Amino acid sequence: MKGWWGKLLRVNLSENKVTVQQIDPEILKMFIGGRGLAIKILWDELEPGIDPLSPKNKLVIAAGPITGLVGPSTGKLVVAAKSPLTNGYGDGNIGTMASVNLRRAGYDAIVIEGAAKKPVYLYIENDNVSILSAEGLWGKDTFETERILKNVHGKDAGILLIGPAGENLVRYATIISQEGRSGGRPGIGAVMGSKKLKAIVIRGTKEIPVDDKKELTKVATEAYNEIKKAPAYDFWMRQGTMATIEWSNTNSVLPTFNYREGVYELYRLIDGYSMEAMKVLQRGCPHCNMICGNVVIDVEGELSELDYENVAMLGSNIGLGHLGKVAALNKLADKYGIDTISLGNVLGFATEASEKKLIDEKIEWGDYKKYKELIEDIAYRRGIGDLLAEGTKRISEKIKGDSWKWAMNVKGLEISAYDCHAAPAMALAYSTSPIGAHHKDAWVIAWEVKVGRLEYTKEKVEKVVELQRIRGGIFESLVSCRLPWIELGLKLDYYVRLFKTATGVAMTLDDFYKVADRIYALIRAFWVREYGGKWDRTMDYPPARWFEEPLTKGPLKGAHLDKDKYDEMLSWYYELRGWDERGIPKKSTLESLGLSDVANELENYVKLTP
Amino acid sequence: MARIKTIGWLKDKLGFEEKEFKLEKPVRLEDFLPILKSISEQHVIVIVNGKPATKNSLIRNNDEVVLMPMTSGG
Repeated sequence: MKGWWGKLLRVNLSENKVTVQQIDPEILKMFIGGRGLAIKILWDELEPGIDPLSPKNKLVIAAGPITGLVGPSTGKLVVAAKSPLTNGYGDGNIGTMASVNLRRAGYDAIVIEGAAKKPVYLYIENDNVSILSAEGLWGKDTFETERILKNVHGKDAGILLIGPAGENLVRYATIISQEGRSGGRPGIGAVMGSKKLKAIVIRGTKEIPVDDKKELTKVATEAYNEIKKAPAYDFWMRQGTMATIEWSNTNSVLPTFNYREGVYELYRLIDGYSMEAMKVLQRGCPHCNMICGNVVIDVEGELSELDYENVAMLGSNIGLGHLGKVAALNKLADKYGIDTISLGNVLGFATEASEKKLIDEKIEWGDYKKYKELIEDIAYRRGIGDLLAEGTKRISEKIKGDSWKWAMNVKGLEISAYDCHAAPAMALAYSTSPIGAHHKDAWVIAWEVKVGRLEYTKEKVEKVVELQRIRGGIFESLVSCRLPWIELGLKLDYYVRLFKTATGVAMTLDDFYKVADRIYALIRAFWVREYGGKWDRTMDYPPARWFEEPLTKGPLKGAHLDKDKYDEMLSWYYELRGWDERGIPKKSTLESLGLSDVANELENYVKLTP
Repeated sequence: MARIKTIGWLKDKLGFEEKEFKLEKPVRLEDFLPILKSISEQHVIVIVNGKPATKNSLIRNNDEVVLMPMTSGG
């Protein structure tokens, strides 16, 4: 095998046992890597209905066949598990030297199972794997922990770790790397915490086997040059994703006051130009020549790395129009290891709940000091923080009233930073995302603005599926960053060529799309198996707020989604995917994707449509 | 007068954020702003009077034009 090692490192923390297993080459061709490999492992190995925070859950860390090789932004890996936030499939990707080191150590993936009795961390140096005590690290924040581990194991080691939020099982705790790189929104950090695993430190020095090294280097060099020639390159290097604040406000999609509005009157104070004025350094993921980590000094005097999502969610969505304060809240979230998207949602939701007297806590919009306290309370599950650590779906079920309408999540995962009162395709993309509401799979909103906001068309549904195949399928399985393609127009053909030169396997884009469809069908099967008879199409609905409470400000004042038309779009989506009216893959669809065994297993839980 | 507003990197390329122009007659947008000819249609969003348009659309006095980049949203 070239490109892939065909090796999986399995670590059982209950038994203190480490094994190396071969991965069937056919599985690698069917699922590529990253998300594809993760769902295959979780489907095959997880007992349905388990508590995601019990030792029975498994944490999968998976790279892809071009991860760690020369090529634009190929330094990523996927972290996945059954989610404690959604009880369905959960994953996220992180740009980190851990991905490069994992591959150089000779593995495509790690599976962590069981749970340690006392805090531990994993140290991997090529073939040598040790489970070491982390008692001296438990309780420390992610920055301090990383500093200590780098002192011990060297600055070039790749490190994945959790902070106090992961340790305390906050349901939207993430895994962190390289001072604020965060991944695994659906509580994958809490799964790591439930296993008493503080960190994974990896050092790899092997050469990754590739099919045609010379050609790979040539394709990669061409791709890097193409990126630099893009008309948007210079501006991207200045603002990165932060340019989206202005874009979103102009298009009335900037989440404001818990998604009541899509415009924020103080957006200029938190936009990319304000960030540029505060920027002190810039950093990025391995192998990237369009680095987008813009670092500013926050009001507490600390360095904080900003991007669009965390600024929108901890800025306009909670009414905080002060970038230095937004940066400080973001830094706190990174230190504790909390997902900033869910956090911004929870804080916005809690503020609205306070306003409506559904909770006793007094919280006002834009109250920096209060939000700071609440973040700490969430990380340590103190006072009201214990409730807020559960995420908007569970909080809403507890505080009741009409809060379910403005608990802004799909399947339990909080929505990322685009308001959809006037964006039906984006609402569909959120609602059918394989992990709950997240933008990474089908960020269709720019295209939707370009072709017309308010229509509900089959063309929009086709675009959502196309983007899911590319973003959620190709990029999440290779594993590589989508931004060179979508932001700077790097042709997809480069990824086909990188894959071919790395693995020697010739696949067309259509072949990749079929892999993507297989991954999506298997992830959907996982959800259905977990939810069984409780699964229905309303799981794929966006929050009621977008249907029932029109925008009251901005150029799209009065806009809201139409439920019947949305439902029609959802049916078209199912039809295109070969899923039935419940949103469950048909038996024939699973069979055509080479998933007959999945169909047989799924019939133990629901009756499949032929 | 036609008002043209730009967003993001298009602001740099066109050299203004918001400007009013007096038009003698209806004119194709990319003829009026020739630099747009060097930018692929797929990289730019054109909105005229709140509705989707293209670089080829005719613009007239009293039109409100917004030019935005396609972005990916992080």
